[in-house]
Amino acid sequence: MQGAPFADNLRRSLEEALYLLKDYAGDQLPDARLIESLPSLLEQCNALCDRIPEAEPLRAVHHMACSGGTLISKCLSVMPNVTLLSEIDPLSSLAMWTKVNGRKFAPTDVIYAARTALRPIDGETTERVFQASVTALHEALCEKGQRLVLRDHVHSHFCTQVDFARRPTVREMLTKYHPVLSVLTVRHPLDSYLSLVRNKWVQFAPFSLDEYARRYQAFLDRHDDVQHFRYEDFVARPDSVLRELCTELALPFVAGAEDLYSLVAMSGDSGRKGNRIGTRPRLEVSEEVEGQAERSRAYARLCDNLGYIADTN
Amino acid sequence: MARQSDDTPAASLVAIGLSGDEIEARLAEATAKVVLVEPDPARAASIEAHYKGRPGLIVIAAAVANEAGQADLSEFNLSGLRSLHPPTPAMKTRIPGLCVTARHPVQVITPEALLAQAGDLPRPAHLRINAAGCEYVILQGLQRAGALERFTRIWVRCGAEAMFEQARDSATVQHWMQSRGFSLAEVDETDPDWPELCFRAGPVSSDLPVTQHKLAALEQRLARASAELEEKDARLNMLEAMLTLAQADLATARRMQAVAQADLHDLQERYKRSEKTRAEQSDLLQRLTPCLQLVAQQLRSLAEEDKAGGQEKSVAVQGELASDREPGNIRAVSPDHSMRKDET
Repeated sequence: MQGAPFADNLRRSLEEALYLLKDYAGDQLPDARLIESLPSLLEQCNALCDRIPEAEPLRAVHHMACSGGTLISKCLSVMPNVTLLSEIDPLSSLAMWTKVNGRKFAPTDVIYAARTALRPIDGETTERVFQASVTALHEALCEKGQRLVLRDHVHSHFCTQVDFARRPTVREMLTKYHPVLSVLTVRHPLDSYLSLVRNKWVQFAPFSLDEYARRYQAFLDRHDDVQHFRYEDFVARPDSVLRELCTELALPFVAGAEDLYSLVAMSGDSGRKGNRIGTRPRLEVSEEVEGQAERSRAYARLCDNLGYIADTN
Repeated sequence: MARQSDDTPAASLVAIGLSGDEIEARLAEATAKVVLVEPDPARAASIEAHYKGRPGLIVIAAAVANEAGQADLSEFNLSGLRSLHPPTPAMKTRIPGLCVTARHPVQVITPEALLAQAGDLPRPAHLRINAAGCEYVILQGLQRAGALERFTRIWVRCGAEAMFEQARDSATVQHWMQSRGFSLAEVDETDPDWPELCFRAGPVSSDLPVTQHKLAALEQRLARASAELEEKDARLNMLEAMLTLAQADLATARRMQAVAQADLHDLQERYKRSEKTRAEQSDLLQRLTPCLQLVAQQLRSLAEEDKAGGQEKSVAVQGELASDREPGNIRAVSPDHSMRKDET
C-alpha cells in the first residue's frame, strides 16, 4: 500500500535532481547497457563528499605576557594567507581610559565606544558584538582565501584585578559559535615574571611570584585541552617548532619566517630587539624573587606541570 | 720666468741717500739707469749739475718716508749721519756727545711717488738704502707698492739697534726681508753700529707677485672647489641617505614579495585541489546523470502504466457500479477499489 507514494516521491526527487543536473544530461536517453551501476556511482559520490574539506576553522594563540608570544605570533603572521589579530580580549579592562583625556580616541572600535558610553553595555552584549564581528571577519577572510588567527590577550584576563574565574576566556567565547583550533605557548614562568617586573606590568595583587604562578596555573587549567609549545624550544629550533605549531593550527608552513617576521608590526612587542631568533640570557634575579621562588609551592608545581626546573639559575 | 745670476750687472739702480765718495762707484754699477735720491736739495742740485748729461741718470731731491710733505733733515756731528727722525736713547748711548749740527727743510716723498718718478727700471735692478731711521718704512712702502720684488739685490744700511725713532734694528729688518723671500747674501760690518745688509732675491721673492697672483687665483679656485665639494658632499650624503632608505625599502619590498608569493602559492595549491575536486565531481555527475535519467524514465513509465491500469479498472468498476446500481444488483465495494477510485 505504501509503494506508490514512495515511488512517486522518489520520482519527484529524481526529477528535481535531474533539473539541477540538466547541464550534464544528454539530448537522447542513454543506452541502458552502457550505464554504470547506480550503487557504485553513489558510493563514489559519498567518497568524494567525504574528501571535501570542512569549513575553515577559527584559530587562536594563547600565552601569558612576556612569554615570547609576540615573536611566535609574528612568525605565524608571515605564514601564507594568515591574518593575525594581536592581543584580543573584548572584555579587557586595561587601557580603557587615559590619564589626560579620559576616553581614548578609538573611532574604529565599536566595542570600546559601547563599553565607555554613558550607558555602557554589559559583558554579555560585549561578547555578542565580539562574536558577530569575528564571524563577519572570519567569513570575509575565508572568501578571500585567508585564515583568521586571534592572539588572545591573556594578561587582561588572568593578570589584572578582575575575577578571572567569573569571566569566559576568549577561547570559550569563540568556541560557542565556531570550531576553533588553538595552541598555547609557554615560557619558563620565572623568565616571564622577571620580564613582567622589568616592564612594570604590575596589575594584580599581591604582586609576587607565588600569585603569578597561581594565575598562570589557572590560565593553563582553563586551556587544558590545548597543546602546549615551549618558547625555549622555539628559539632553539624555530622552523621545526613553527612547523609543529602550523600543523596543530592546520596552517600551511613555509620555512624562513626568521627572515620575514620583522616585517610585522605587532602590539605587545615588549622584549626582544633585533632581527635574529636566539636564546637570550635570563634577566637578573633579585634576592627577593629568589626567596619567593624557593618558598612558593605554586611556582614549583607550575614548573613541574610545564616541564621546567624550578630553579633561579 | 728667467732668473738673473748674482754676477749679472744691474741694468738699473735706485740709490737712496748716498755718501759723496761712493757716487762714482754706484753710477758704474748699473748699465742703463741710475736713480739717485738725495734729501738735501743743495747737494742734489750739485750732483745733478756735476753729472749733467749723463745718460740714464735721474736725481731726485727728496727724502723718502711714509707721508709726503716737508720735513727737517738733521745732520749730526758724525760723518754722513742724517735723519728725519730724532735719535733714540740707544743711539745716544752708543755715541755719547751726539748732537745735531744742522737742519735742512727737505721735500719728503712716499715710496710710491719715488717709483713713479723713477719710471721704468730695466732688470736686473738693484736698490741701495742709506736713510737712517727710514729704512724700514721705505722697504715696507715698496713692498706695499708691489715693487720690492723688482730688485734682485738690495743693500740696506741700518743700525744694529733702533738708532732713530720709527727705525728698526738690523735683526728686525733682516727677518722682515727674509719673510719676503730675500736671503741675506752678506753683511758689511765695517761699522758694527751701522752694518750694511745685502739681500739677494730668492727664487720666491722675484716670483712672489706672480706666485701671489697664482696663489690668489688658486685660493679662489680652491674656495670654489671647496664650496662645490661641500655641495657635492651634502648631495652625496643626501643620496647616501636616500640609498640607505631605498635599500631598506627594497629589502622590505623583497620580503613583502616573499610573503605575497607564499600567499599566492598557497592559493594556487588550494585552487588546484578544489579544481581537481570539481573535475571529479563533474565527471561523476556526468556519469550519474544518465543513470538517474534512466531510473526516472523507468519510474515515469511505471507511473504511467499504473495510471493507465487504474483508469481501465476505474472504467470497469464504474461499469460494474452502473450494473450494480440497477435494482436488485447491489454489492459491496472493496476498500481497494475505493482507494483506486480516490487516486484517479
